Amino acid sequence: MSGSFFRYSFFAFFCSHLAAQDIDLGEMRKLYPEENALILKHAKVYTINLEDKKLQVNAEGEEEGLALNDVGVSYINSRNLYSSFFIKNTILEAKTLSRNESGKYKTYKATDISEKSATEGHVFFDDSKTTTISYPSVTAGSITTLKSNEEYTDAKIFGVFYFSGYIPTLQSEVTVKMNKNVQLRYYLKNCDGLQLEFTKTTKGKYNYYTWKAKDLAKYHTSDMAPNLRYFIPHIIFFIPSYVDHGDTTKVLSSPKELYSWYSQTIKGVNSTSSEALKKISDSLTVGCKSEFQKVQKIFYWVQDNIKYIAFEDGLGGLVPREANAIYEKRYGDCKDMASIITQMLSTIHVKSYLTWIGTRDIPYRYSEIPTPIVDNHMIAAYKDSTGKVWLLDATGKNATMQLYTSMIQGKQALIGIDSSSFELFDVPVVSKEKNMVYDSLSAEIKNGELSGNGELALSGYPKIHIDYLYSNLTAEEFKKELTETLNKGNNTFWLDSYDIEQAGQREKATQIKYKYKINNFVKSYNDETYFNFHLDKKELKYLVNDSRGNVPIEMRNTIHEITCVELKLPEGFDISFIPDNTSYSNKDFGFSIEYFKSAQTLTMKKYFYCNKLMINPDDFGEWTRMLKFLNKSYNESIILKHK
Amino acid sequence: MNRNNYFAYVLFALLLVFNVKAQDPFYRTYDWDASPKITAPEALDQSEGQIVLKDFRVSEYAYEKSGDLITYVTKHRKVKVFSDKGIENNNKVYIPSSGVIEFMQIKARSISPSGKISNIEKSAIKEVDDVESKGSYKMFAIEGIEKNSEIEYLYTYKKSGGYFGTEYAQSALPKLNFSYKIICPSNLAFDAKLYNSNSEMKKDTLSGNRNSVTISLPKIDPLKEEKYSFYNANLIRIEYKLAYNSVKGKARLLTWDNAADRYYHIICDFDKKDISETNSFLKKLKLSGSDDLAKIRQLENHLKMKFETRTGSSEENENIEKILSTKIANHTGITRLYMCCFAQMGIKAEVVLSCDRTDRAFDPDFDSWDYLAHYLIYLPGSNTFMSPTNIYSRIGFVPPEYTGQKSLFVKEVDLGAGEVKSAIAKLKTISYPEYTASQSNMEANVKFKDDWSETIIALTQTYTGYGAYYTQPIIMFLSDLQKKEFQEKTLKTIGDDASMDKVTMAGIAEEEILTKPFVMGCTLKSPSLLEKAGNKYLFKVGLLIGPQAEMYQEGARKTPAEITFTHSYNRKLVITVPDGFKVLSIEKLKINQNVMVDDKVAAEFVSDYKLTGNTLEINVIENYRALYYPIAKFEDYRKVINAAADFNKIQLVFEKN
Repeated sequence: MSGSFFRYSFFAFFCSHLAAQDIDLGEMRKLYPEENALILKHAKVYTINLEDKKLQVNAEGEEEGLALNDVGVSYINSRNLYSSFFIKNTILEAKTLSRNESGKYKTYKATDISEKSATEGHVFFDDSKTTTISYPSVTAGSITTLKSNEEYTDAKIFGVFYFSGYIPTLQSEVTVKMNKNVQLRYYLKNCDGLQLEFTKTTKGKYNYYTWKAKDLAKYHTSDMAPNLRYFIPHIIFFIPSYVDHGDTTKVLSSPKELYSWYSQTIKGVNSTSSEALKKISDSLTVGCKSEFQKVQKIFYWVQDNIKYIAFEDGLGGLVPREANAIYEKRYGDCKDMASIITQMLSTIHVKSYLTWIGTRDIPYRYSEIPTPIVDNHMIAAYKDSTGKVWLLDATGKNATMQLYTSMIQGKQALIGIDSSSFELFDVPVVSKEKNMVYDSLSAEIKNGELSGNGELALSGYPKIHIDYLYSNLTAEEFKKELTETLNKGNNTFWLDSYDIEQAGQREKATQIKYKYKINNFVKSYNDETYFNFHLDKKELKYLVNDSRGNVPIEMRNTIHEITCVELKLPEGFDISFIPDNTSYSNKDFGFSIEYFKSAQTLTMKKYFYCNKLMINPDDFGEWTRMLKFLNKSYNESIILKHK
Repeated sequence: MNRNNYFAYVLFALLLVFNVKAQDPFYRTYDWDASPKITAPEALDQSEGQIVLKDFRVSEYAYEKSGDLITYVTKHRKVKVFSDKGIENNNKVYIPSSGVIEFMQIKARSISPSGKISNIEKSAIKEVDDVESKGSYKMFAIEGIEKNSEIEYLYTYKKSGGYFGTEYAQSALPKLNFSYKIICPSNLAFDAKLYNSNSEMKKDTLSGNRNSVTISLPKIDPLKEEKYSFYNANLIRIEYKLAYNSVKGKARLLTWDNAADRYYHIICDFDKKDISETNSFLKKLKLSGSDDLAKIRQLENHLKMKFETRTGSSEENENIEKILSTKIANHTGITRLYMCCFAQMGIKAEVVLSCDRTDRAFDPDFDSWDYLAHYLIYLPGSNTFMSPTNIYSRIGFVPPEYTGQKSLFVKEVDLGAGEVKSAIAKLKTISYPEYTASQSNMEANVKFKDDWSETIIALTQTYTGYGAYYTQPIIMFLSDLQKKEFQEKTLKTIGDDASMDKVTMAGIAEEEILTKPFVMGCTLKSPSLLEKAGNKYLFKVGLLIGPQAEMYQEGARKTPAEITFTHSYNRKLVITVPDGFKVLSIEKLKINQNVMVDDKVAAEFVSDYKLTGNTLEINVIENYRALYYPIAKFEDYRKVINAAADFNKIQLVFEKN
């Protein structure tokens, strides 16, 4: 404990004396022997002004980084600033406090500044820019600093502050300086383990709200990790309302105001339908017996024919484009697909709704945080005659009406009913039974080689995944991919041939019949042959490694997998040993392994399930117990003995 | 003077020509079909979901009024798509625009199977700057595509220079109607060379007294990736260069000797200030090594740890005084600094220029300066090479992609006191270290827990040379958590379920990089290396050497096998047989497989064992001594690779006495 107290008091001292000369580099290196660099200060001051009934928001940021050694130089010798249509970021001051061999500091202004287009993986064109600052003369012991200013085009976009970074942060601090007539609300996420010091003061016409934290551990991420927002401490701000000359104006006090803003942005979109759009909508739905069928037809047509290409261009990042143009172009982003679905349905007099939603990358709900930070996606929604809500996300291909995209499971959707009313809808997680993977194979032993026929049936998200590969890969590439998916025994696994049925037929399970062989798998000695039924052990990839720390494991979907292996008993052999049946189960995950013997065959049936999308650190204990138990069963072989 | 400006200046002077009559450029006379006909899909190769129907490229050189030589680059491409994949791959078009002075035209359209044409409007063409440092692009999405649509675009831009270049003709897609043409004013002549194809280039004189070189390939088969092969280096491609300017006489231009001289001046011209600053830098550095090699190592460690090296041109980053102050240099700048240091230290050094042979092998017979892509330094005193620009490399182990091929050595010619120094070219091979210099060795001492529930392995992994090249220099840059992940990935190759303890790492200090072995050790406990079968235990001994890929070859091998560096693995596995048990089926541990090239062992896999009392010692040797394995030897090469995969699957049976 004394150690940690020392650390705390040291920082308190240190942070109030941020002149470079005062840094005891030796002491810092002792305190952080494993680290190469530190963030000395990470601070932001948001200023919210109210003038002429208009909110103005800007934020001044301050960053100071220290290289503890030569390696640490690369952590702090460049920084990026991000600007978009909504937030303009400018540099106020960037400099290096360069430490020379004798421990003296000299200041150099950073002049090497370049601007580049920013990009995100799935976006084709993005008008955002990244400004890169390269610092001169950065040596071990040097400090680089940046002061910058963010201008917000709209107060509704502000603000998120992350307390920690990818290297340890000594001091993290955020202040909101607000005109007294403006209200503030905030939401702390993943801050439970953090000692946050909160103060509120008033000076002149402003209220000052400040959160400070010290000595923040760095975050790290891992395989199968969810988005950082799920586990790193941060704070989200928003403005519910302000008072001007006695009149209260609501800004974002509830989803109602958020929707009223959204509703404004889409006003005027799709006011007319082109002849071509009407014609295609009519021709697609001709002969449909029910409204539901019509919706299905149009939804599937959009899935199949509108390719995903996203343009983040000014307001184009927010507002859906005209359905008529999307029809001609045959491409669009998520909003555009929602736009063309709703408009095509409208031309045949079926009501459907533009719907805002966040993907699973964003762990917030509109009911808690009624701001645009909650969403990054748009879909369409349809209510059938019973009032049941159907989510139509055409960015997912080969999907049925029942199966919305995996990335919106468990999320809250905001369905825009008309210009003034909306509904919040909780998207259920698709239950495991719908995500069936059933792999059933026969196996025969000949001279140490194992061969046989298999039949793999897939539904739900696993089906969509394989169907996607099937339609998007060449025959050669698909065979390679399928070989990896089916891989069993060892890496000699050879897919002789396969036959795929019902791929692309949305309503039916995809079935893959295959012939395989595996060399060098069955081991014999003298009159005994050993055979391990567990030809694949893929669940072991979910084992929690020591380096994982507290990073949750995110699943693509819930799991319901059955594997059946039927071994044909070789002539002249008896079974002299069969392992025990085993199982482990709780409400969230588990498995069972059973052996069944008949006169000519021995069959092993394995069932593995997981009902959750996220295995949280709280679950790790039981999760590991289950996997270890499973692994124990995996290590048991049967023995066949010569008669 | 900025070194790059200097470079441009020399070329400018070389190419200057007066009284040239302006020609109407080719691109103004070329257009796509105003009423395009759709090609019937039936006769076409649809296996890739798309086929290139036309790939037409022209580089036309012309003089501006100012006398500057510029190039108009025209590209016209037409692709037919058959599948969703074909559509997805072709509905977005990116045109690199770095170095472009002006776009003369860009047009694009799709033609649907029913013949409907959707043209791209000018306003739909976007521009991005230097995305992720990959350069700038014009980009647009093609509208109205369906299956069996054709996508066509045609553009011309103007750029300066372009005296050398490379055009890749082949790709992973089937292609029809490829053609590449160079057009230039009559006083100039280009040489071009076609690689990985038997076709010929054609030289011609065009109207308006222009010269041309053309290659036309009516059909190009796709090239698929093959294992142990360098994809790009095996593609059909064209290298070209400006070879003659009649105004300047009959001599060949831009020769290897010219290059040597030019690079000599770029790198090795030092003024007084450069020299005095370098001397004071060296003085502060206090190089204390016992010999030149030791001093060079010290200098290299210092410059690689304390200076940042960037790509791109910048006057500041090539000026020695500035570099020493900002600690930032570009590739030319850092090479200058090394050479200036060596000159002041009295150490003989030569600049070497080479290229990445995984992309394309250096061709000493075709003097395109495009091959001069990377700097190396040759130190005749120790007969070694070093890479000034790659911070992970150390003297003796340059990036292996440059080794094993001829390259250009800049040989200084001293004309005596008072004369301007110059250099000539020597084309010599960059030697590579023997396979024994790059080892990845393993020693594993194996015991079993009394109740047979776990295998306990005391593991030591030792890496040297290129065996350590991709890890040892990086360790110190990793955070503690990244180090832990690295240890797990490197040491736990026997399976995810193993637990790891007592991890040690040695040879990771700055001065030990590629001079001392990189050694990692740990104790592993694995529940799954042992399988239980009744009262017998099966031990998967083969998995100890880590996963070994089984290599299948479907169809005839198209390209020879080639690797980046020669290397070896020596593994010693010592297994203690528990008291009261005997080990069965050990004879399978004997494997011997090799490939002979020119009557010499080029690669081998040999495993053998010795059982003494209750100690079973297995030695597994695997090495790859040659960089290149001809197609005729490919089957033997594959057998060596698969011998390791076979060993991987060996299990031992333990039975009670």
